[in-house]
Amino acid sequence: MIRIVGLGSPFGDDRVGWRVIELLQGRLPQEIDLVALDRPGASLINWMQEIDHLILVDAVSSAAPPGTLIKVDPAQLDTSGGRLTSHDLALSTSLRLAASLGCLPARADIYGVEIGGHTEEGLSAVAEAAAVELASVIVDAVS
Amino acid sequence: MTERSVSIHVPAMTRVEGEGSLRLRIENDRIEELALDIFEPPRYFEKFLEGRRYHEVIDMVARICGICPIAYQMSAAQALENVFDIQPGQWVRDMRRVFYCGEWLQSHALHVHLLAAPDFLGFDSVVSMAEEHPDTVRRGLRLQGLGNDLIRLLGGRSVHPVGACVGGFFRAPEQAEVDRMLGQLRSALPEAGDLVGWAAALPMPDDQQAFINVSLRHETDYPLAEGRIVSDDGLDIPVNEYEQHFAEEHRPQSTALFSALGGQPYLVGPLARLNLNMDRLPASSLALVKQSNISFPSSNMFHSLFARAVEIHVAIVEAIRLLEDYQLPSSPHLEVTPNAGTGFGATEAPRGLLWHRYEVDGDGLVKSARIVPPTSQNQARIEADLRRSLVNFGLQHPDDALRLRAETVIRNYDPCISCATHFLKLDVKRQ
Repeated sequence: MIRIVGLGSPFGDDRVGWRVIELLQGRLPQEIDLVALDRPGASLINWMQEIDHLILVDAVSSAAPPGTLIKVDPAQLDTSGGRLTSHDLALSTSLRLAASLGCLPARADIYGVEIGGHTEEGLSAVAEAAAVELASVIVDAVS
Repeated sequence: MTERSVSIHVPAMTRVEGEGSLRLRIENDRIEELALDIFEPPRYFEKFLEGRRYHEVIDMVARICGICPIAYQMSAAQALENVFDIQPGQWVRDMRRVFYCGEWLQSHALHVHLLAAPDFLGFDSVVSMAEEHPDTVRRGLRLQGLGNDLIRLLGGRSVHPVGACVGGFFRAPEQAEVDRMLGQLRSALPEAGDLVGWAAALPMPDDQQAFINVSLRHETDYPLAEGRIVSDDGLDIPVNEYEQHFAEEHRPQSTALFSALGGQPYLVGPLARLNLNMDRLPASSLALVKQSNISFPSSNMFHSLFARAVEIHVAIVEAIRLLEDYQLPSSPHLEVTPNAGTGFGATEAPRGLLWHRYEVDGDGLVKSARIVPPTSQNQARIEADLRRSLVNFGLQHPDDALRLRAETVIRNYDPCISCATHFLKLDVKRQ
């Protein structure tokens, strides 16, 4: 089973992961599970049970221009900065913890959308266009 | 005698929230200076609230903390209802307790299993612990997930929930949603019972300390969303008299405020609650405590982890009890007509007593706000505990060992430094 998880928050372009999930509704076979999560921390691991392919979509911040799509191999995530606190579990730490527990799905892909500093209500036009493009990339990848 | 000055910098202390550092100066095997420095910029939430309408307060204060937003919402709702002299009925009071049980459950489950357990089982983090104790970590994740589901039932979502308002809730869950939740809670209860036994058997340092316990106390129930403020040295006051007995002061090293009761540090949180409210435990939770080899009241701060485990059991038992009698209300909230005045509220956040005061004008605009979070109340106690614990441990130990013990002591309080104003930079100077 494939599960696609959009990660985000209500703040500006950070919601781009949720927007991709919205855009995927009705465009994929019914057995593919679509989920939008708000900063799940460790509980992301609960969404890795009983699936063999996990696709994560999240906003990322690197040096690339806003709107750039990035595909990350989980093994390439920098684990050195992953913090574990009562309030926050970095995605890399969640994935390492899942690996220690033996519950990391056989296949895991991470798609990132580079976002700029847009924190106002709603998505910026650049993030919206990137979400539309990424939704098509994912449809092609799982079809 | 050779003089040695050692300075260790750990840029971020793990497994606590917020940013802080510990300054430690040891001379001739004596602690000459010990200070917990908190340098997260102060959060001007109290000022942000001024001029806002009363109904905006509930959503704003939820933003103070990502892990205990319900605590902030419930203390604020109680204080504003106190201003407007309205008393929510039994349905609202029961559902606030259920809502709050969800927050205790997710916060305590995360702390016990993912943050504190590695200290007592000898691992540097939950990631390494998970390889040898996968079932323990999985239990923590399941219980945390259950807490989040319970929050979602009444709050609409688990992060910064939006379901609560002054006067009650915006929406009452349907019976079918409540029935599904009851099923989940009932099936988790045996696991919560096992957790209490597991926590009692964890290897804990035996470190008896004298400290004042402070918590809410309710007429019949284990304290959560309402009660009087009591201590084990005779304090028993209504919530509105807090400022007459508790003082906050600035110290130069910290952007959080230090609290004192009669000039003395004091403890708030799970251990203080359990120490003061053993007779308010549900019968099945009390039986589990009696089966353990730990007697209460306890003056061993490390029993805080056990107290959290007991409170996870309490949260599930209480949520089941209250949801079993669920009936759809005619309205999930009271209508509110604002008036000028001052009101007070206090509830038991996962980390301890959370006290609010609001002054509101005749148009329902906030004129002033005061918020006293649990971590700032515990700060002086953490310093006193560190001083004692490090001497008991032995100051001759190498810096790395001292740092680990100091971190273990601080983590034991599950401090939320962001609420109180990221962790641990240890600066040791030895002579």
